[in-house]
Order: sequence, then structure tokens, then C-alpha cells
Amino acid sequence: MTCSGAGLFMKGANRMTGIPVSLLDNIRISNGPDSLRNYFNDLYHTRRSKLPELLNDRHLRFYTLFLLKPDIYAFNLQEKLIPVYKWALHVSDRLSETIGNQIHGGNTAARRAEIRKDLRTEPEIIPSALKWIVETGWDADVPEGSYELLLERCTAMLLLEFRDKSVLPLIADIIFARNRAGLLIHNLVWLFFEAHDTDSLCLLAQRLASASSADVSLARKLLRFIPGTGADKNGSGTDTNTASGADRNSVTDTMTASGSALYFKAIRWLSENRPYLYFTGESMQMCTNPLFCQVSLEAKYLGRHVSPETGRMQIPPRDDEAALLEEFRRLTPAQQRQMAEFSRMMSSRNIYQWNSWIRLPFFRQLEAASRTTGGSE
Amino acid sequence: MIQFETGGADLQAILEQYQHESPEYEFIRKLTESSFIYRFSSAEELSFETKMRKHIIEASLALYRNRLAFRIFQESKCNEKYWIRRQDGGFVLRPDTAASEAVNDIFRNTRLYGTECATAIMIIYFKAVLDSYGPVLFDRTFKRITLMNWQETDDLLNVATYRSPPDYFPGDCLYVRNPDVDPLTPEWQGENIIDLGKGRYYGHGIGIGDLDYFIRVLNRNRIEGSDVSAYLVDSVTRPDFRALFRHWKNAS
Repeated sequence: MTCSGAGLFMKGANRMTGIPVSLLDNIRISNGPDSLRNYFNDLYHTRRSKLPELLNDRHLRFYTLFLLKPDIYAFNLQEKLIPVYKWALHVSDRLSETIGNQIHGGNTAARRAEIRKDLRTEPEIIPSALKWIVETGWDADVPEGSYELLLERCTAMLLLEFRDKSVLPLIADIIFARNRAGLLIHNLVWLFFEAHDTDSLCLLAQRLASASSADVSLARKLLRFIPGTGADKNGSGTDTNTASGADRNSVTDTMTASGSALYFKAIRWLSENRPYLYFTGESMQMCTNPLFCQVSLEAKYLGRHVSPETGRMQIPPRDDEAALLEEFRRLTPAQQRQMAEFSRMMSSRNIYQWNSWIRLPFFRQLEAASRTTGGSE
Repeated sequence: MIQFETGGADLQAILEQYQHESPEYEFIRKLTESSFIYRFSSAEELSFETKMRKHIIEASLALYRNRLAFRIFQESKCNEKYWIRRQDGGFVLRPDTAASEAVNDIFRNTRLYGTECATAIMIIYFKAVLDSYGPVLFDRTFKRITLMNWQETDDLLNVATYRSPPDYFPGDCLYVRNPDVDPLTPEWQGENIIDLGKGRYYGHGIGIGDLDYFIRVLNRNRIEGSDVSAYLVDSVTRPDFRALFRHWKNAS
């Protein structure tokens, strides 16, 4: 498992960050959007030949290009842009058409199909353009409203349509940075989990050890499915029927555990349970305390990997395993957790012993598990 | 089945208080017919919950009739006289404002408001509590209100989601999920709906209909080529009726 998560989110990019900034970005950040457009217009009348060079700066950020879009079109400069920037403008034009008429409007399936077809015409360049938009567009000073929505659309297209998961570390950075700033994160969180990438969960776990209490609080909320990590709204464990095994008695532990201890605990749990984890589809729009992931206890018991999208075992159980599962389903949720965890522990310690154990009659398996893990309920 | 901590009660007599086709009747009938044991401290608590569920349904119908606009968070709007619109699109009750007036204003000046479906449910819950408590107790109880989908919900309301519940009742909030939503329309990823009874539901932005109606609408916003249908999630979201009853009881 790799856990990069390097912070790429540009917090109002300026000279102090050490990140190279284009001249146009510098003007926008220092003096605001109006000054940027005034400068650009003045330059058009005084040193027109300089404009393509300024626009094609490799450090240019999307928000600046977006602000200058009307001027670029008015001055007919779009053909002088490098391909990624030129197509970024095109993509933003098309995706902007899907904003503002969501309900009972003209955003029909036919229209969306037409937009999608258009975005597939240049398969080499459009994903790169989308990636550039997402990587540079989420600056901290972006306005809410249609621009923010456009960025959400671009992120959604990149993650869900073009299945580019390489931006997930950046999306995690953006989510936590926006949360610290009190900005909307719900759709970004939804997108992060909709990417169905179990490896990326450690990007969230890293924040358990953050110095920022807002980061820790959000990380605990998002990782509530990890026993001993999450907490309910008031630490009260009110959300019920957590059949996945989310540990509702662990709040006291969590309160006293240091950030790094919590982080290591979460990372360990993720590495042990990742093959059996799947995404539930729950979201912050659906309920107060979503469980974004669950462990398939049946798969864990049989030692089978599951599809992160569906939770179904990647290799269906054989007849003898199906018979075991029938018995397994008759256990209480606590017993199921115990058996599944016992099976995982044994297979990781000694696969030969596990092979013998899993062939035992079910009641003998249960006896062995109860003996080792201290009895069942 | 219903069990009262105070001992037995004449359930038939309770049922007969309500019209045969009413949501209240449906609620109590489902409770009594369930194999699951539902415990109430008293018949009074049952009556309180029944009434509040009725108020939830009435508030849903009122929002529908008054045509509350559907707005995603980035475009949400509210009457700034009573509410402060936050940067994230949520609404916060203005300090020194009577909560009852602010909540009623959403139903009176509905055209000034616009939000998404989960926040609409929170509005419905607050209106139902207001109608159950009356303005004096409501204002005393809720000095601060935040309306921001399911996040930052009030401690007393204690809204919780129950997975695989034994039964669904009128006044419950359910969720229809659209797993293959088109990334071009993420606002159609799912819909929170209020059970109005008799197989009818209200979902803000979509309207009123049976379950198939909501599934059909969501399916129209799936990713191209998908044959994975939207579906009703096996969970239910409810405010803490018992806590609300106890607070009301202690105050009265």
C-alpha cells in the first residue's frame, strides 16, 4: 500500500509557498480578478505578442485561465494556447452547460450524451486537460457558485468517467483544506469514496495524526467504519445496526488515544481488512453518520477477496464453502465478527493450520475460535 | 408489537382514535402487527410520536404545495431576515431571532428559500417539532439552529440512521440511491424521501409519488449505458422521538 498524499492544494498561491507562480497568477492572487483582467486588456493594446507567452506559462493555474476566458475568446487567442490549456477551456465550456438547470431543466440524457461524446473526441488530450483543471483549479481563493460547481463536475468526470485515481491524494488534500476553511466538502467526499479505491483510505487515516483538530475530527467521521477510530456526533454511539462491526464501544478509547496511536491502529486495521472491504455507497447526503465502507465478514471468514464496488467475492464460494456460509449466517453479528477475525489471524500466521481448520465441521471451527478468542456471546 | 413500561393499554381503543385510512392509523397498526417489540414508556409517548409523525407528513405536504425550490448547496438561498447563509450553503438561525418565526417563515415565504433534499428534511423535522411543542417551548428549546443536510444536526433532535430496520412507518425518512449516477449530474446521486403513508412518498425537488416514481426519475440520470437501477436503501432515518417526548413532558 502506498500512502503519498503530498499536499498539492495551493493555499492562495504566493511567493511564500515556494511553489512557482506564473505572472498572471501572481497578479490575480495579489491584486484580484479585476486587476488581472485589466492587466490582460492593457497588454492586448500595448504588447499583444506577449499574451500567448504569458498564457502558456507551464505554471499557469486553471482559475486564472477561467477568469480570462472571455478576453481570450474576444481576442481570438484560443488557437494560440498549448493543447492542454486550449482543451481545458473547451471542457469547461461544455461542462458549464450542465450547471444551473439540474432539476426539471434541459439537462436531458440526450444532451448529456452529446456532451460526453464531445468529451471523448480527443481521448489523448481531454483527460490531461481535466487533470490539469483538477490539479490547479481548486485554489483556496476560488469563489463558491458556478465555478466551484464546474470544478466538482471536472473532478467527477476525471474520477468516474475517465477512472483516473491518481488525483485521489490531491482530492484528499482539498477535502481537508476546505473543511478547515468551513467550505462545502460533501460532493468531494462522495466522489472520493465513489472512486472505490481501498488503497486511498490511508490518505484519510494520515489525518488522524494531524495537528489540526478539524482534520482529526473529519478523519474520524470518514473512517467511522474502522473499529476504535470513528465516533458519533457527540461521541454517543447513537447510530445503530452497524452490522459491519464498527465498534460502538470504542469511543472512550478513541478519546484518550494519541493521534499517532490512532493512525497506526487505523493503518494496521486497513492492511488487515483491505481484501474484504467494500464501499457501501452511503454518503453525507444520505445520513448523519455514514459508514462509507464495510467488511464482508463472509469473505473474511472464507479468506476470499471481494470486489470493492459490490462487496461480492471475486471467486464465488464452492459448494462446501457455501454450506459453511449457511452455518456462518446463523451466528450472531458478534460471533460472525469473531469467526471472521479468527480466520484472518490464523491464515496470516499459518496457512497450513488454517487449511486444516477451515475443513473442520463448522461447530468444531467455532469451538476453536471461541477457545482462542475468549468465548462467544 | 407494542409494549408499555406502565403496563397494558387498550390498543384497540388507541387505534379507534384515528381514522381508518390515516397515517396515524397505519403507524399504530404496523406497530401492533410487527413481530418486533416496540417499547414506549406510556400511551402518552405513543400518542406524542404518532402526532409528531403526522406533523412530519403535514410539513412535507406543505413544502410540496408551497413549491420550495430545489437548489444545490452552492446555489442555496434563504430569507436573510431570519437566517444567515453560510459559505458552505447551510443556513444558521440569526441570533436573537425567534426560532419558531424563522421556521414558520420557510413555510410562509417559501419562494425566498431554496435548498437540497436532505436540508428540506431537516426543515420538515423542525416544523414538526414546532407544531408538536408550540412556539413558546420551541423557542425556549432551540436557541440555535443549523440547517445543513444531515450534518450538524441538533442534539435534542438526535437524528439517527438505523440500518436494516424491522419495519418502516409513515413519517420515516428513507433513501433511494442511484449507484450509477451520471457524473454530469451528481445531484441525482440519491433522494431522501418522507413516507407519507399508503405507499406514497415526498422527495424535495422531485415531488410526490410511489417508490417506482422516484426510482424512474433517478434512473433517468444514470451514466450512459448503465443497467444498474436506483433502489431503496434498507435503512431509515428518524429523529429521537423519545427524547423529544421527554423534553416536552418535562417542560409541560
